[in-house]
Amino acid sequence: MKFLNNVKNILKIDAKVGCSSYDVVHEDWLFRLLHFKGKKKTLRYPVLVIYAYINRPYVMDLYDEVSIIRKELNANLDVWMIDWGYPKQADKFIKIEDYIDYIDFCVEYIKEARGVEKVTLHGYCLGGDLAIVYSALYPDNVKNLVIQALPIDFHTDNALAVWARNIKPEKITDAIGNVSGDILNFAFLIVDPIRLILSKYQGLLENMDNEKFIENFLRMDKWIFDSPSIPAETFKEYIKEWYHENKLIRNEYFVKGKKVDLKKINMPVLVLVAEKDHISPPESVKPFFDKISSKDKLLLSVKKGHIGLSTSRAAKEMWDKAIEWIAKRSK
Amino acid sequence: MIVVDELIKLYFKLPKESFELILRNAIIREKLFKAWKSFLDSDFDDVERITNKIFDDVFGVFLRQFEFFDIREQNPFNELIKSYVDFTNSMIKFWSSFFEVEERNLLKDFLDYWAKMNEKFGKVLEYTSMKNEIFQKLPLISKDAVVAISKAIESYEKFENLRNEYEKIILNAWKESNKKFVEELKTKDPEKLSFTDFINVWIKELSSNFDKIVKDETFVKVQSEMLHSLMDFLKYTRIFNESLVTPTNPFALKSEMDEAYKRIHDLKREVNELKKKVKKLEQKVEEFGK
Repeated sequence: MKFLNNVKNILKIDAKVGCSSYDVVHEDWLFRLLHFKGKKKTLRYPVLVIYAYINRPYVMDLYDEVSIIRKELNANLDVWMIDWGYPKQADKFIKIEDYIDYIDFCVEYIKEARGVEKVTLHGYCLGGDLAIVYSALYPDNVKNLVIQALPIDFHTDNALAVWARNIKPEKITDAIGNVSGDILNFAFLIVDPIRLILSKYQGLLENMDNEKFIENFLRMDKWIFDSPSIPAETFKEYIKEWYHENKLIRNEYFVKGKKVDLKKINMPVLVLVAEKDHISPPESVKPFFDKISSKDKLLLSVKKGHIGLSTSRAAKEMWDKAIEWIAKRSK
Repeated sequence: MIVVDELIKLYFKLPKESFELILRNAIIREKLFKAWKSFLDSDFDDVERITNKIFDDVFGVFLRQFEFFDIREQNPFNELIKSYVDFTNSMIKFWSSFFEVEERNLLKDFLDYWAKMNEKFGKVLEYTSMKNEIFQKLPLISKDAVVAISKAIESYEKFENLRNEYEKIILNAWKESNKKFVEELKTKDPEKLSFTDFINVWIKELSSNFDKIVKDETFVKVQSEMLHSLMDFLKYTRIFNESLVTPTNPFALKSEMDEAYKRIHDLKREVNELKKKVKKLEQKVEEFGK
């Protein structure tokens, strides 16, 4: 078959992911704190990147041309990142409070290592929610808050939010424990089946003579399907309290008995929005922008999707502005 | 022509999902190429026939996952139960050889009873798909096990009905889109519509229909209930399996392991809190010393 024969071209391509080197400075069973190797003399306030517990954080450092980590390092920022690992069944009782506790541990670790009193948090997607929860609970520890592709008002009408509001998470976790990467992969495919099962791969077959296209496609696909399981307790909590009850944006969410009050977010805030985001649509983040007390706040948007916000060359202009904003406030 | 060795290399190179989706789409593209040729010959019925058939290539990615959940096949404890039956049979033989002849006679009925029970126990495996016979033929299993297996069967039947309904919804949407696509094609000039344009028009038609379907109230309800009933089936099957092997099984059950994991995590949280308190106290002592 002609088209199947063309698939051979993929064998020639070596699509490596992750372009910046780092040291693993701390491990806590599952979680790890990474410190990227950059210039010796950096800006005063370090940046801690907090990725979502869905998928893997290397999308922030996919390859040289689009790496956000590389952009931050090039702006003389001192960049750290949390890796939430691949939870096993033994980790099924990890709760959201455990993620917040580890963020607190990392912030304290970085403060001590760098001799600073505050750290900038850069949260991505559900990692943005974790960064927000931490910033509301410990505002004195946060120099700047940067969030990208964030869902925080979960009562939107995108298919994923509608589905999440209609599932009973305990049915899934009681049956299988952690929600496995395989289940998540198929759920994300079926949420937009024509584009993600059909159109995307027809696009690849159309470009089988374009090595660069294949290379970047394979990098993205590797990342997309590299999905860790979500710990059962975390899944139950965020589906029920965030998607069903929308507690975060309503200031009704509590961590270990402490209220997460968005008004306590008073540090400079930068919000990065993808206008065509089908996972975290723009209307999902805009109410957050109005609820915080920060005076110094900026919203930047780009006409891309959830992933394109991080990996698209078209988002370069927005990222240049974003990095400039962070660097200016990190001196 | 791609050869098997190359396909195997490709499989190891790519994520399993990418491998499957690329191959499926290569096959879909062949079919679309034939559909485009039919369009150039103005054979619109053939275009509709071919595009309708592609449904299985696209949704098979998702729907085939459910093939694993056939109740007759789904029993992860089968091997464990078989091992248990073998183990107790060996024990019975051991007891028989251990006792003297007179004693053996005395114990005959007792040993026969155990051998019979063990035989029935082993046969439980065969009954899991036979709802009507299960209550007559399983007098020796616990009430918890009977309740669990009846709930598992009930959930499975519900899941099967919902799966059929779910497939019907997406198949109808698929066919409806293809009808619209063919109507759209009738307005196009075959000489000006390239193969790539042909695919784009088709995908546009499908996308606009499926964007609505995935948010449709009935679709969302059927999908959620299908998922819930499948999960209930898995849960009750596990409870049934656990009930069968308790209390004589020599292995830790999943629920027992879960309890251990929970206790470990609770302890870890307490240790972390204590570490923080110790650190604060150390800082205070240090400040006091200054």
